[in-house]
Amino acid sequence: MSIPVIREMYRQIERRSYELLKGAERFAENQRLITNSQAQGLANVINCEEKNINTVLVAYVQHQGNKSTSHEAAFWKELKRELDGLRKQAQEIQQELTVEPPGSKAAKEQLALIHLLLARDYVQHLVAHNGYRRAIMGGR
Amino acid sequence: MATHQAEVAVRQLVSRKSDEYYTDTEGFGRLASTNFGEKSKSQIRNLENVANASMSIADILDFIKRQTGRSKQWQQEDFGRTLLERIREPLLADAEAIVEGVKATVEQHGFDADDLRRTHILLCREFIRHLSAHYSYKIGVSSRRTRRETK
Repeated sequence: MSIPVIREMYRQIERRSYELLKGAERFAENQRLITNSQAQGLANVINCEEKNINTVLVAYVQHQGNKSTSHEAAFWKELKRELDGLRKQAQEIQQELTVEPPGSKAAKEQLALIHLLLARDYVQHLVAHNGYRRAIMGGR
Repeated sequence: MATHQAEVAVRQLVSRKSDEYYTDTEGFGRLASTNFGEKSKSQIRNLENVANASMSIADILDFIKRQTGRSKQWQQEDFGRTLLERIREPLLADAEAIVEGVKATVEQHGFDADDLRRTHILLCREFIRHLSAHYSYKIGVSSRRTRRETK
């Protein structure tokens, strides 16, 4: 990807950041809070070097869901669905960029990268809101 | 993206609004000086840096949430929560009024959601800049007073 395309990609994500924040808040309000260390673990995993969103989703989110209690499992299951759902927005952003031939390997990699960046933004908002809610609710 | 003329009009209205925030932010500055004192100056400086460097309102909100989540100083007297609520919806409403005002008087077309977002960030920066100035003034005055009393 050329620098102007990368710049435009980040700009498009920035433009959607407030909507992602509202989505993350809605999600957090309807779910049981996770612990600060779980939230930090999630943030660390999503911000790691891994470039493939599916690896992140399967390796961490699904794994957390499998080993958790039923309340927590619901959180991780729903989170996986939310993050999967960001693929549609990633496709919309990719259409705005229109540089890679549709269906090509480069286009698939570009889509995966946009999806991952959206997921990172979403998780950043979710972690911040989770910690904030824990504090204002007195750690409950 | 708005034209240059519309951009100038937006900036003028933001400056006018900024004057209104001067008194609004005095209470926040006073509260910040009580909560953070002189030793935690970096908290307000970091808030100002995030507001000035960020191109997304969500980053500013995240910063306040993170700090409120982890620090008692931000939680005292509901400082973090009140600040969050103040810069979110009321400032967005102000930004909407500014954009609508410019649309009605200077330019009808050419505005998009991005212009509203940028106006909201400009207002947010102004609000936090005033808050920071009030805070610095308050801690400056109180530390001078303390020095005089200990002499």
